[in-house]
Amino acid sequence: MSRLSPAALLLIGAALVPIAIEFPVILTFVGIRNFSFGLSFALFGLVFLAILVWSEVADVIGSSAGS
Amino acid sequence: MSTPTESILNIGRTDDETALPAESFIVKYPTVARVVRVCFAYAFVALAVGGLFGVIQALHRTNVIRVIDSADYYTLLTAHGVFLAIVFTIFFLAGVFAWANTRSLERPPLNPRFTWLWVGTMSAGTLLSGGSILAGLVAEIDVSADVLFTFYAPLQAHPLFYIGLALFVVGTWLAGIDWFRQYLDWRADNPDERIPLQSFMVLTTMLMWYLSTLGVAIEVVVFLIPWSLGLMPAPTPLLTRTLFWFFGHPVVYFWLMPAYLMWYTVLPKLSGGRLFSDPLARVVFVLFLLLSTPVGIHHQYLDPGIAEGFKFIAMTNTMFLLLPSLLTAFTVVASVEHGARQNGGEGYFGWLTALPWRDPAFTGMMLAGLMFAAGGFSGMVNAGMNINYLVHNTIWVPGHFHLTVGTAVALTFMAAAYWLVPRVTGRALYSRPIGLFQVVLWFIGMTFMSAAMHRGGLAGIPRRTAEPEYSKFTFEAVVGTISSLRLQIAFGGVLLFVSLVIFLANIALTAANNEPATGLKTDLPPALSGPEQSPQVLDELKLWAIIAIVLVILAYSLPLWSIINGAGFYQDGITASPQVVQPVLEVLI
Amino acid sequence: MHVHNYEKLWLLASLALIVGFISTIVYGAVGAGVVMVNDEGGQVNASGLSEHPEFNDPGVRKVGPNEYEAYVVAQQFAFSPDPIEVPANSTVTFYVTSRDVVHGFEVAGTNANAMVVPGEVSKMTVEFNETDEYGVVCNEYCGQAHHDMAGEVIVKEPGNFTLDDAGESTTAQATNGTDETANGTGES
Ligand code: HEM
Ligand SMILES: [Cu+2]
Ligand SMILES: [Cu+2]
Repeated sequence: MSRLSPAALLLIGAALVPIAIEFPVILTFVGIRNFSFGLSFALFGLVFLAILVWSEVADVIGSSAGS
Repeated sequence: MSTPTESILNIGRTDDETALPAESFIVKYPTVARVVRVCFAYAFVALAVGGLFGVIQALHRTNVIRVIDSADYYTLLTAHGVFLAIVFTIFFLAGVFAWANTRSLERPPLNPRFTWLWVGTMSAGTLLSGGSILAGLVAEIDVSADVLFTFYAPLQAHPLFYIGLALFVVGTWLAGIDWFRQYLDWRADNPDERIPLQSFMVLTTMLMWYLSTLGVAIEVVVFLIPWSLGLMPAPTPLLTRTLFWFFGHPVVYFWLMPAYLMWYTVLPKLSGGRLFSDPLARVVFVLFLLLSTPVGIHHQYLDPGIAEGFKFIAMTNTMFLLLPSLLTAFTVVASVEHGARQNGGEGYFGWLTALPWRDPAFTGMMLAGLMFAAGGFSGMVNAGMNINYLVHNTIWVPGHFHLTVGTAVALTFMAAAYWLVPRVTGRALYSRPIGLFQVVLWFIGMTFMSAAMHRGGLAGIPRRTAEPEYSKFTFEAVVGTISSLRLQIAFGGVLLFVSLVIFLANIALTAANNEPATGLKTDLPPALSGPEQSPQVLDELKLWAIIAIVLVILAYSLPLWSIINGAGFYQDGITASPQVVQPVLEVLI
Repeated sequence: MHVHNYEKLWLLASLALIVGFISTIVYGAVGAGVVMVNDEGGQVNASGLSEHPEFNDPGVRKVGPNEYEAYVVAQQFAFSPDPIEVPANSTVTFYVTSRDVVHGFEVAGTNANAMVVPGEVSKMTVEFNETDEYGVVCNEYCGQAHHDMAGEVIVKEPGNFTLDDAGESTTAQATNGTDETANGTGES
């Protein structure tokens, strides 16, 4: 059983979109310019994938620990 | 009870009538339920057409896909503005207000004929104005109205466009009379009671509307209609502009108030709790009545012919108009948190997980509220008299109002429909998961489109233009590239359109659903601090109306007088610029 | 009336925010001397611009050591003059009006931006410090070819700059207050 319901994944995914869009802008404040939107989306796509994996896998580990 | 099923809109009957409880809205007030259905039907048709044009615009002006000629772009843009910002919003408002006033006063309107009269007047106005805009796409018809929804003279539309607008506004006035009569009838039976909250919201909003539509009514009836019929000379452009914006700002609160009504009275219930404070809700609506109108000049910060002092007064009032929205943010979040804690939510942020996120009505309204906060920030930039010079009439501005009217209002309406349509049709929502997906998709699409529009605006890209670039120079983005911004606008527009199609399909399938709606028994719970905690004076509608009028006179008499003094009513040298059809709809397939 | 404590705090914070906003704008207007488009430009007859002493010949005039006036006419679907040429390190007061409908005059990417309303003159003062080229867009819908309506401001090296026509006038002619502080600087 995964930790996150499809609805929760949908909402988390949606929340990552504005973050991915604003990320290059935030980076300009710390002096990193020309960080492309494409790269930012790829990055947060990976973050989403990681969350997905965590949601599916971590629980398996948890359950083997006896919950 | 039963209603005959003679028309397609008459869907208030499920096969299993006994399934609807006797205390449900549709069984108690079948006529009002039908009025609400008709209003929603108009609203959703307008939404469908407007949304289609929206995606065509988004793809055209970014040069991604072009199916129209650039000259026709403005016909579509006029239709997009009028159908969405006027027809969709106001018909939906009429439906919500008819429902809310009846529900909270516990009685139907006095005379159903009168009710159908205003529905009919608004419909006639819509068909005339909408028809004259769309006729601009058809070569054979010698009618057009490519003047955008702001119709600044001396751009000139066909007289039917203005006549339709006037009829539409008169229809809303009649609707307000209907709701006031309903209230007076209730008052006669309940001389000492506090006005029920929803009805209070309806009435204060309508008072604001009467006051503010005065500007556009004078503009259209006294100046534009006689001028377009060739009976009178061209009016002073600055004067008609100023009259338009006298109405043009308060109309945004007219869009917003039904959304606020849902946030204050329905959202707390959806979250499992109760409204935090009834008195504060009343204060907020009174503030909107008082402050919505004497601010319109903030749309004219860049206009010549208006002294800086007047702009300054409008700016100050505008800033104070932030107050009711900030109070709303507090009350809504507090009420939802209360609901979450009722559901067993705990911790500083942990309560967020105890909310009904699977419910599209709840999630849609929450996302709409979140985007409204973002829209509020860009709105503060617009309101800042001097920073406004950087963004005025750039694409930043559509970026801003797609967050406000295009999401805070439109997404709340869609979410509200998921809750309300079953209540006025008696039919169960076709699919909640699809609804949830739809509202989230709108949020994602709007994030793309709006963020990119804001950034494009900072680079100086103008709004209301069919072409992505000029031959003489190029725009430079502050972050990223202009072409990536264009792609984001186009991509966001497509997502929005897909979301819209899913919404309309879900609603259509609901209307055709033979499963009876459930959960119709429960009524909206009263507030935690009830009306008895608030001073009686809040219910003195006459007093607030008078103060509102005085504020408007203070803000507007001098500017109007100085315009009339300088240029007169009919300034010399102004000639009409009829927006006649270039009669081609070039579909390049 | 019962108001919750958190509510009171929020209310105070909101009011502080609002007053803060207003103060920054007051500071901008009074302290930093940001000037807005206002009613100083006066009125003109939109169809009689050819008889107007200045708009009959749109162009740039010199009115002081580093001070210039630019008379610009907007009409469907062009600005004249186009391009508008001015020297660097100068202060230019634009007077913009329209022959027909409402237009916009926006120096792209800067805050030099005004509505152009027929019958009214929009006056704004801009400082140009460095040589550069700016796009000018009409940012108000003005008809079917609105998207073609654009112009240019070219800021030239002062040495290369000459006034091209007889529009040269002397300081004495300075009309209503060319000594205004800058509204928008030409820097992007
Ligand atoms: C499918 C969803 C939508 C898309 C793709 C879309 C797209 C657009 C675009 C690209 C523009 C800018 C056109 C320009 O300035 O050149 C625009 C303008 C506008 N949109 Fe939308 N929009 C959508 C939904 C809405 C909604 C729901 C509303 C309001 C309820 C709305 C209200 C407006 C208004 C008032 C304008 C300004 C029209 C004008 O400048 O005269 N839009 N839209
Ligand atoms: Cu406004
Ligand atoms: Cu234009």
